[in-house]
Amino acid sequence: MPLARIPTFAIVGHPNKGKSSIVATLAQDSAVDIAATAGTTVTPRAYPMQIDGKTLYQLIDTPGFQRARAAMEWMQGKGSEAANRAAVVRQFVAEQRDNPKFSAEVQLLDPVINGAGILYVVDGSKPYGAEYDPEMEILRWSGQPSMALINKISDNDYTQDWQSPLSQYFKIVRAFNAQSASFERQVQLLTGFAVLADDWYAPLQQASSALIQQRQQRLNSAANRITDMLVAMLQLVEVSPLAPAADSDNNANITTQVYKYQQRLKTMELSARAEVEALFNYTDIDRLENPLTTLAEDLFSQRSWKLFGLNRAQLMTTAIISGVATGSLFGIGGGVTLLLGATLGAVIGAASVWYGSEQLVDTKIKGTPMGGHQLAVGLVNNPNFGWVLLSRAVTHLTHVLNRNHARRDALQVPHIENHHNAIVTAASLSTKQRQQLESIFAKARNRKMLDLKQLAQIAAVVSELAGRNRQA
Amino acid sequence: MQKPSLLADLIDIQAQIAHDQPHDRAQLQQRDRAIGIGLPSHHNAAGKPADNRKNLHDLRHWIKIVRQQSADAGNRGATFSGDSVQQSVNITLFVLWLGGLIGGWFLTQTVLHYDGAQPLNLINSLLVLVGFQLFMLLLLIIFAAGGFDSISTTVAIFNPAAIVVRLLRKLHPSGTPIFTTRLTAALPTGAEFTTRRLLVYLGQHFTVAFNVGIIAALIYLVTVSDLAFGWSTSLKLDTDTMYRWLHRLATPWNTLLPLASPERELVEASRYYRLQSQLQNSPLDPWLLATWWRYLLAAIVTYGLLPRLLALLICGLSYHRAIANTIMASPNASQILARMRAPLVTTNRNDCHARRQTTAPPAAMRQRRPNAMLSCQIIEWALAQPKQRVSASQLKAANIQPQQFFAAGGNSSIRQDQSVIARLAADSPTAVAIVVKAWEPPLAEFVDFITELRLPLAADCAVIILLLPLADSVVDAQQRAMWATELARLNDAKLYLQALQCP
Repeated sequence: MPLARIPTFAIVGHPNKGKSSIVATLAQDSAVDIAATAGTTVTPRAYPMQIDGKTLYQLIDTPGFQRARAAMEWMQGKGSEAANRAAVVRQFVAEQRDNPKFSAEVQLLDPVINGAGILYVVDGSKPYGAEYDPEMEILRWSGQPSMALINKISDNDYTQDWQSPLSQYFKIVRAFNAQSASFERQVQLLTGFAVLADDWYAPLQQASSALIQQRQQRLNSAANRITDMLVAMLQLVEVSPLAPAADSDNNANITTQVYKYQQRLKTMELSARAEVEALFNYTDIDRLENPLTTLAEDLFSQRSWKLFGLNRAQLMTTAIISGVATGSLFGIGGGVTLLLGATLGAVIGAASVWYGSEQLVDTKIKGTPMGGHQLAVGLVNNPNFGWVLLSRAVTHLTHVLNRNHARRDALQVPHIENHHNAIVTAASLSTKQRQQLESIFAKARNRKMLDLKQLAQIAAVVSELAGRNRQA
Repeated sequence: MQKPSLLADLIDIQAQIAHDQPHDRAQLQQRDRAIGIGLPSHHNAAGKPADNRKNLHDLRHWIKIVRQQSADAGNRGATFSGDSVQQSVNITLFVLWLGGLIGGWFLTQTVLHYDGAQPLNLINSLLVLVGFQLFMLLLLIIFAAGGFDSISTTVAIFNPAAIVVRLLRKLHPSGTPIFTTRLTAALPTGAEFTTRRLLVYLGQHFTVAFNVGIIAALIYLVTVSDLAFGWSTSLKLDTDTMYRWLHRLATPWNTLLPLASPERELVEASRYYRLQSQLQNSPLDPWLLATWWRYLLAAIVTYGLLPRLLALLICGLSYHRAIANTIMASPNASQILARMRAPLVTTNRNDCHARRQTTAPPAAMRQRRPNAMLSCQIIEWALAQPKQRVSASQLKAANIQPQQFFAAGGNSSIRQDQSVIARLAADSPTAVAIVVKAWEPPLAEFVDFITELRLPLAADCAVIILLLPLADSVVDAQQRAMWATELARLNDAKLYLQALQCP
């Protein structure tokens, strides 16, 4: 049968052998329906790999064979000459299309007769059985380029059992664990598909390159997102107005605000983690993790007031300068020397602010308060905080990188004591990197805006640390 | 349509970033990649580091397209207030220019008010029109020496733009944010310096306008009236010293404008004492005294206008660079650029996956509890491999007494399966046990076999499905459930499931 113009691979085989897991892994789609029960896939579904809308290849997840023997016997009844076999398969699909008895066989053979290559999946953790022969024979009759994948679903290993029977039917036999295959193994497999047909070599190579590039871009985006989160959390200060009240009420208020601040930090981290997961196309996965904790004594909180939008220090400086100017005028006009006039003006100005300004805070002008009290909670002034955040983010990112889309269990971020993890992370960097990062963290803690180069330095460290820890 | 300013773009970019936060990532990718594809090819190379100029250009292009799309969609996207903030800045700029021009004009009119009784004191004119400005400029340089970010709000009180902002705060209804508040609200943390730089930049516009007002008033007065300048002081200052000072002050324009540089004779002739109400050496040609206006004008231009023009240029560049850097350093800006530049690679379906039709759960499959030995015909389904055969001990442990063994399924043909059924039917058994591989799912062809088997058998003939575990293994709950679920659909009251033990 002629090959499809776009490289197309039908993932076929017995039910419950991990076909959908293979698709989920190769298509990087955690939404592919995978279940422990057999027969979850009932209709074929195509997963096109596209770059800017142009399809480079596609995978087709198919339902498993249900009546392979009966289908084979039907085909054998039409003649078994090698030259006619492909036509017989096409005839089977055409004639049995409306027969519910062979709906599974028709659906999985349909893409094959339309030019798809065959990826036949077996479970390498279960032994070979003769019941597989009829379906392998049917696939051989189609004449399409084919590859067998031995997918080990559980711990038992019967891979060797499968090699001999599979190699009798398929051009290439590969072992591939859908649940644990690394990204590099996935790309390797895709490159392996390219040898099935010469015409498909170029688009599949292009697809491999695009996937590698996409992976790197995702990692860069994740590193940038983590950088943004880090900076925002280091600089977080929550300011809230404080109504004039008794000290005991205000203490309770402070406790509440501190709690809210801690919750806010947790939310920021969780939100960033969800975005990182979404970058790698993991949506709605469960996560088992230890939440971020910050000690109340690590938080810097300050009760302060503002008058005319200025704090006390700013007002005093203003008063001093104004006093100098006013005193100078007196000095010029009143016969007093210039310097003494300026000095007196400065002292009077500063003293009036120091002693009198607090009273003015509660004063109103035309109903508008001149000032007010406010409570500022934050920053986290523990100098390790930046390292704690960095190490937690890198641990999470590493686990995301090492996961693949066939897994349905929760993402388990290991529980490592925060400060220990932070120390290990810092120690794994070069002295220069450590010093650079420390000065960047210090600048962020001073609520100064980081420049592009500094942001890029943080992102580069995140990428490097995550890249070191991921599996090959 | 006028191109939006950098400030407007900054505010709108921040608004759009905030608006995009809860949105589906895939949609954002598609939107931004579609925008990125429209960029010129030299901007569009993914994977190559782009310089800041290109990054800024691309981000501004992005917000321009997003605004258009939002407008086309009936403004259902983010609220773009960048233009209105820029308009507020422009209005403030206009007010500052107007104020500066008027202030400079009236100050000059006041300082150079000449009634003919006494000449205008050149020293006073220089101190007020030039000296005070130099003092303010010196203050700006001192405070800016530590970087523009060190110009604190304190100094900003003396900034004309900050004064206008404070007035606007008082005039606006309570709660209505003015442009500086809106800009500060749109800035990421740590970027508050951008607002300060804007105010300093606007302040320089005022001072330039102020100097232009001074110059305009001076030229006006020189044109429409006669002015006479002299110099008068209580300090012990001889003519030579005064000449030297004035000559040094004129150093920048001595060569270019020699007419604006005074001669010693003019300096000597211009000294006057109010008590004597006469010039030192009178009478003198009033026209000669008037020629000081050239000196005054040159001094105002050199020490007033030009430094402020330079300050305006520097502050303007600094302000625009601050805006540009804030845009590029914004959270998510790098992600926008990545989404625009990187080819959109998709490997999965966009539509919803069809789920298996959920039907009402079938009746629970009966489990056989072997209380007594049961004599059965045994069918081995797809158990051709020697290692996968059921053992006698396993059957005994299951309280199954085998009568005869038959093979079906696997590499048996369907006709052979039918033949097995026929032979069993002829024997009229009371029980039939079918040994199957527990690890393999029950296929439709097995269900077909069970259905066909049941037809010729007696209604009370038990059919027991014996689940054979893998070697050195047991039948686990998942395997049991897999078989139970499928066979329960047959709704056969005499169909039973039983797990065999590990061989």
